[in-house]
Amino acid sequence: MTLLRRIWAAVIFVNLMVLSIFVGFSALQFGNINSGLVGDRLVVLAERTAAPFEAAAKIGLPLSTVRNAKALLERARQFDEEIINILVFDAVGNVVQSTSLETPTKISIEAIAARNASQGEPWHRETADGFLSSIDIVSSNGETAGGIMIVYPGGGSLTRVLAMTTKLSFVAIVTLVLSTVVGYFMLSFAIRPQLIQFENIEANISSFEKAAWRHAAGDVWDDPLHEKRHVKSELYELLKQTEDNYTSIGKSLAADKDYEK
Amino acid sequence: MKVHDSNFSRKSFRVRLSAILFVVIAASVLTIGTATIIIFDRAVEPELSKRTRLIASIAREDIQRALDIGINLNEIVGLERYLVGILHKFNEVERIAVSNVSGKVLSAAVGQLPSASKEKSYLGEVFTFSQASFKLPILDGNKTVGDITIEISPLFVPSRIQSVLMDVTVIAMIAILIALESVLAVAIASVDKPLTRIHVLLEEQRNNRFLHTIRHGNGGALSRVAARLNDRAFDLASRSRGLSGNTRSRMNNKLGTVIAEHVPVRLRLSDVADIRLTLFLFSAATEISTSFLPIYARDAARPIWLNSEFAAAAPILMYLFALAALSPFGGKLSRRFGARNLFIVSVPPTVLALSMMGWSNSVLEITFWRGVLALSYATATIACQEFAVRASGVNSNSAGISAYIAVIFAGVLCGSAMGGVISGRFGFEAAFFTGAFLATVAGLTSCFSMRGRAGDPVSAWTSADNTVHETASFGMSYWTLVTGVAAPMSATVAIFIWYLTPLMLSELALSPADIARVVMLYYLCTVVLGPLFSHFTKTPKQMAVLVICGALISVLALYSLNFWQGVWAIVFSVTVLGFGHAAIRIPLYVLALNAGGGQTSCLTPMRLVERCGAAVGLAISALLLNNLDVEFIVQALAVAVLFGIVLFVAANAYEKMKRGMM
Repeated sequence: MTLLRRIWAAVIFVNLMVLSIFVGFSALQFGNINSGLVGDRLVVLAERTAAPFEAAAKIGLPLSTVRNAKALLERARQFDEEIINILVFDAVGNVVQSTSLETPTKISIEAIAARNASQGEPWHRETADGFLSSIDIVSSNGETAGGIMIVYPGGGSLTRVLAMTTKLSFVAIVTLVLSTVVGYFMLSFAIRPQLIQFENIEANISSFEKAAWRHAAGDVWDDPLHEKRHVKSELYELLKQTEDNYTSIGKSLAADKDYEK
Repeated sequence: MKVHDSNFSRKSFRVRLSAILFVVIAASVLTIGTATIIIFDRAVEPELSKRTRLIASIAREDIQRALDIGINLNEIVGLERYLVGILHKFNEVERIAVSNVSGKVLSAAVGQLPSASKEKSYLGEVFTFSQASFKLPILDGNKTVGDITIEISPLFVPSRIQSVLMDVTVIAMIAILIALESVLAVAIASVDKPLTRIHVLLEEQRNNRFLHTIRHGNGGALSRVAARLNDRAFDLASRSRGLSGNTRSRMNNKLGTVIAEHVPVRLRLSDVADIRLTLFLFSAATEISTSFLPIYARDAARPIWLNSEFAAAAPILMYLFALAALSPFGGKLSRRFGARNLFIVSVPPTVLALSMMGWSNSVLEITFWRGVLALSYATATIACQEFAVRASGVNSNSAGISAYIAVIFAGVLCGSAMGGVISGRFGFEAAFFTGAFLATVAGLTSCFSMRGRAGDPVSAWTSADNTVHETASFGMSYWTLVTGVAAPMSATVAIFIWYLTPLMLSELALSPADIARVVMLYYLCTVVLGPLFSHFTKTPKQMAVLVICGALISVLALYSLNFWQGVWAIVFSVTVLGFGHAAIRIPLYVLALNAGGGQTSCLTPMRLVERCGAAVGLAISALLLNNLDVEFIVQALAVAVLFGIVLFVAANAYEKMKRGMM
């Protein structure tokens, strides 16, 4: 039974590891899918909002000169009530238009770094300010004239990932418990020959021990395993034989010691 | 060593345990995988619906702009192209259609998920995915003139989660392999080894020899017996010390007893299974970079004189040359210093080389550290091989070699798969550091597992144990086996599996993770089929037949690339090659050992020729790849393998004829 329990523990441990890795990877992937979906959607919205600004940039006008800019941004914001802010910024990152009342003067350092890393491609990133999604506005000479950035609530994504991890963990625990119970029965059935072997060995040993102390008390060597036909007594025989050898050598040593005295 | 009835039947135990582990883990992964897809599907539903609404609103706005300037809905030019443009931005959209008030579809575009409708048949039967559909009316002034319908593919979530499922399948396989090795180690350490020790001591005591003691664990019937047997030897030794020399020798002669003169010595038995876990972990650690090394080397900074093909091959070449350089000395070092010491000494350079490979920025640095890794890999694996062959005894080399090869390839499979997953998720550095960590664990386990006598230097062996001789005699069949079978096989692995397959698949736009999965098929065949083949072949004749069949299968695998191209052709070729090599590997070592009289030193020339063959072959292919096409190189390889096997058959027939004439 010790053998079975040890193997069972090892199987549970391995299964626990596999399931934990699965939950971890799935939660990571969910985070990616979720932010990818939101990010892509916001990028499309930003692209759409950018069109009038791009037209201005193409004829060399600064982005701040676009008429009705506030209304254009506000119309885009109404596509999703969760959008916190939509900003238009110039090539160096100074904010020129915004839907929010408290307009920041510059986009954050984190956003500038992300923008530089994306090399003109649309990007989205979870930052301390929230979930940002942005595209560049290109001027007539091919250089960037600035960009549009949509600020979305950030904490929601983490909350969703945590909620997903909790749900998956629950499923993983249920799976583990089920597989543990089923695994025990499967194991005890599959390694039955080995378990029987080991039980036989233990039976041989305890029979020998019982017979040995009875023999020491003057009884004849008696093999109790004879009654159990299915149990092989090879080990018992070996133990008995070697015990006899030991006893006779020991007695002979004692006799020789007496003789020497 | 006599195998007793009551000994553990290890083989059936391993098979049963593998099956149970596979079933339990596969069922768990399947259950949680299914649940995850359903949970994901529900979780992304609100976001998908927002996206659908956005797409529909954008499309409606644009169409209405056309209507505002007086164009009729069924007269808008390029409407379909416009819808396709929208689809490109949102790859979860299956269909977008514009229809008039009577419901007639004026224009429609079908999305990028081509498998959706095909897979719907069986996946859709199992799960009910949320198929979001959204309809928005189109207004012309204050009149409804039509509507836009958007349908989201129900297989969007399953397609996004596919990579997680693939990774987890690989991880589950790695876990099964690790679990199998660990569970076997637990079972062997707690039951099999104590039992074997007791039987050895009982055999001795039955012959009135009370010279040794054994380790007795803590608790249980086996420990009680071990303590009893030990005490017999201690008791007789201490009582016999009290007698005079004369009386002692008279008694010994009379009863034929042999009693320890001082204190009985502890028996240190070794078993092939001792090195299983250690070798497995070490092999996994050193092969962690197999799946991404060519890409890692190709993308690293390189000197101007080195082209990208050669840069990709450089670390593998260095590895083969370093292995070849150390091959003649590995066996001698192992015999001189002991397998245990040699293995332990090999671990620190391995850890250092793996860590430094992670920190390397240039091809030259990577190649240098790969060379260092190869040297320590060579010494460590040769140490394990010597240990396995000695522990299994001269008469059962097959068991030792079979276990050695199965474990080493399980390690390679596990390491390369693990490296692929870790590098894909956390970067190459993380994969290398995981390798360094595994190598450290292997070093620690070796301190305990290689304690047996097979790990000692040859000088420490008693004459009775010492069946290893320095000289081995090689006949013609040995040399044809080495040059005709071993060298072409190892060249095929280096050129086709390690070098050409990643390059060909990368040209077919497969990701590194997918390439790793294809290469893994080769090793999977060796791990699963290798021991199976060796189980059914016992005699040298059967083994020679197996070698010939394996070689012919590998010729077929290589030649098959002439008839069809593409990813599946390569997958087929790699798998069939794995099948062929699985048949060759174990018999090859056993035949070489038999030809050399069972001495481990006879493996040295084989290792040298094998690695030189691979290195030269790879160098030639890397040089020729600029001028010749891949098909030519693969064909040349097939011809070389075929020529080699003809040589081997001819030499065997000649030797048989010569023996018949004598």
